[in-house]
Amino acid sequence: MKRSENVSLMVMGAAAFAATFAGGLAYAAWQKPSNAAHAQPAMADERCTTRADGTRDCEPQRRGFAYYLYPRFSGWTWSSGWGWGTSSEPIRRDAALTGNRPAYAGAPAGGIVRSGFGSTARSGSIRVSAGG
Amino acid sequence: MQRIACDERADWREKADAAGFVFHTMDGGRYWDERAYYAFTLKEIEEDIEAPTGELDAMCRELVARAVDDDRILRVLRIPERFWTFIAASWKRGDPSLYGRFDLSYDGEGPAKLLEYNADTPTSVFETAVFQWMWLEDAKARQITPHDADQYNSLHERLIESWREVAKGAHVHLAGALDAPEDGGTIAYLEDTARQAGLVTTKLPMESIGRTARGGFVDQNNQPIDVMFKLYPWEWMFREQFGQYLAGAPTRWIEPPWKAVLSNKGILPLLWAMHPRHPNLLPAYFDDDEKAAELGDSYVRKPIYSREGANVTMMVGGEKVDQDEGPYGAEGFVRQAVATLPKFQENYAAIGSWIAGGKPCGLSVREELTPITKNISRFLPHAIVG
Repeated sequence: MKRSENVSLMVMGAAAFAATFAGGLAYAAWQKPSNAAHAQPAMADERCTTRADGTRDCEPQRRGFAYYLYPRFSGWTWSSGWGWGTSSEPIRRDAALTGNRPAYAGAPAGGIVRSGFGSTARSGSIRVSAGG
Repeated sequence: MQRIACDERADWREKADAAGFVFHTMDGGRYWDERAYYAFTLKEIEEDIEAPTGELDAMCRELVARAVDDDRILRVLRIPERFWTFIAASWKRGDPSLYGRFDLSYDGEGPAKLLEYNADTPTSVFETAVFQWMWLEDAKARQITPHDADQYNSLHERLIESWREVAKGAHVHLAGALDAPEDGGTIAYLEDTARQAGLVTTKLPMESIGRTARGGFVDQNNQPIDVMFKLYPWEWMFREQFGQYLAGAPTRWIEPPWKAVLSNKGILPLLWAMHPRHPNLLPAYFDDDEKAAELGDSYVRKPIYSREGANVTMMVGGEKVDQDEGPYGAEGFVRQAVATLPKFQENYAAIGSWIAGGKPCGLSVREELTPITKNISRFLPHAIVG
């Protein structure tokens, strides 16, 4: 009973695969033509208001609930350490996004802000890989 | 399970370079090492690796289902509260996972033991899926392995299949630390599998991700990012500047946000609590749990958040036998019972058991001269020979 299915890959195109992959490495330096002038499509989960000066203030729609009220799975106990025992009252969860309004200040109207991700990797925390 | 010494191919470096495997040598040392291979029987693969991997995956999904309904679990995992809803929504939507890797201690005799789960940003995927298969083809031709030797390895095919499921035809962006050779190579390979799944793809560095005033994420060319694969830990994204906007953006993420629950050493004590004495689990406790004393003076202390062995300490009989330095540990630690990796000659061998699209599908072996597997521990190929 064979446990690999790679034979078809190797038969049908090892050279093509290698070329594609090597091309992928070169891809990092390749820049597509700019589409910066294209308008952003309206996002379905955004809501906008118009300020007095006519500019628009948009923010993401909340995920649709003010709090969670989930039925507890039975059995989790805390006082006795890690284990499954008797159930207790359901947990009421306040919305985690409350007070998490995106800060648009500083961004030009319609502007795009970058470098909001990647700082940890640049900080020296990454040794060889961000993966593991 | 045997370690079989063999001659390396004279031209393996050229073949690796030609295949795009440019990180075969790191920090001046071998990362890819084909001076030996590991031989498994089909029974070992199917009964001791494949089946337990599926079971571990099921247990992990059960844990996520419980975590998203119980704040206390998310709290002990040190996941910031403002992302709880984001994570729970991801799970309840059924956001699909592309892949993951369970790291196991297995010696061919007793049951494999879970050391940790690389649920969010597993690397070594290209060398597992492709280059060790290329090695096997050559090894059979060179009569290093039996002519009918096989490999537990359909990872490449499963990735392609999984891409179709997770992206559903959408344009896929792939982001990460592209200038790090291992990450750049891993992303390039995963991009290739996405293309082979018929998807349109774009790569970009994490720092090039843009955010519009409307709250959406865009690429370098200001095109909306609908589906984003990121080789970048969730816990890093949560604390970075754009982290606060994740929940409000329509982007679908791969790995999905619920993987933030599993990419955490805190799952080790939680799984042990849910399934005590499970044959594929090791006793584990949070560092500040009084039950941790049950492990005595022999245990492995791991940061809740860490990667590639960093900040892991192994204590045996009260003596520190191995430790790897690193930047992690601020969020706390867990203690896990010691399951010393099997030693073949002077080499400790760790098993990586891969899952893609929810199906166990491949195996990798890493070797190290010390008991803790580290970031540049050598990768050895394997074969099924009986």
